[in-house]
Amino acid sequence: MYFKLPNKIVDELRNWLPILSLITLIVFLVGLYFSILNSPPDYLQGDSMRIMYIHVPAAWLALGSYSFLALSCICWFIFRNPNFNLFAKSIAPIGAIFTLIALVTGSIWGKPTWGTWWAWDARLTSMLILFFLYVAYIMTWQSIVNKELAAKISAALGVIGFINIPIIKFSVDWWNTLHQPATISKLSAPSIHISMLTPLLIMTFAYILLLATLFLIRLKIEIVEQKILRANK
Amino acid sequence: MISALFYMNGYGVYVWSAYSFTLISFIILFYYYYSSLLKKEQELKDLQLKNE
Repeated sequence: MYFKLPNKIVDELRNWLPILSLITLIVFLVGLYFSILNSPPDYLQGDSMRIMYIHVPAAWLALGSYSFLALSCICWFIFRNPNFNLFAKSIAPIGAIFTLIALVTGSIWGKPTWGTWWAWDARLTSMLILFFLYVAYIMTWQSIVNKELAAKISAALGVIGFINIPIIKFSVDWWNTLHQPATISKLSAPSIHISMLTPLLIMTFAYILLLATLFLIRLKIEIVEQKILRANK
Repeated sequence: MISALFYMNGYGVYVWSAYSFTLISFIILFYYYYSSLLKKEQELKDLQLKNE
């Protein structure tokens, strides 16, 4: 009964996958046009600031994906509905890739801005921990043969790892870091000019669409794999 | 114009390497997932035919 609900929804959404992929591509191309060709260089950082348009959305979605993973794990503990495991398992590798992109592009941006590729700074270190948390979550599922046990351990890991999310968010306020404080905050007006905010928001939207597309594909793969397992029994 | 776009006042190597890494990662990930999905769906179809 629990298995059927996402299967039905995912089957329906599966038909929309080519259209969703095409929309994602178009929004990406628009975002790239604004990021590279139609936005001014920063008065201080020059053109290196253009890395922000691919770095910041990756970091936001890396955090968002882990929050979704942790929420799914909490829901699994409460309701014991295996669908929540499917959600968490599907988002984990995508979140890991977004975290890796945030780390690599941040490192490349760091070289011309700070003069170093890497520093054991609070924000950078906590992001690296987030990447390891994602890897640990994926490895738990892959390495433990008993799936009941894997579900318990991975869900516990997912929930405990959530402690890292507010640490990442507030690390730039709690400690003296090389990393700049938040440019866009929910509670105050953004300290970024509209000419730079526009490409950033378009790229963020493109990243969200890509995340949704990849998540849908990954979820469908998980469901098909389970059907194959059951058919083989 | 084109060379200025690539050079970006000396920052081109950083900007283009960051964009290349990101876009290549996304393309590989999408291709890998999409081909895996098609493969799994075919595998399931074959298995269902075999079981019938």
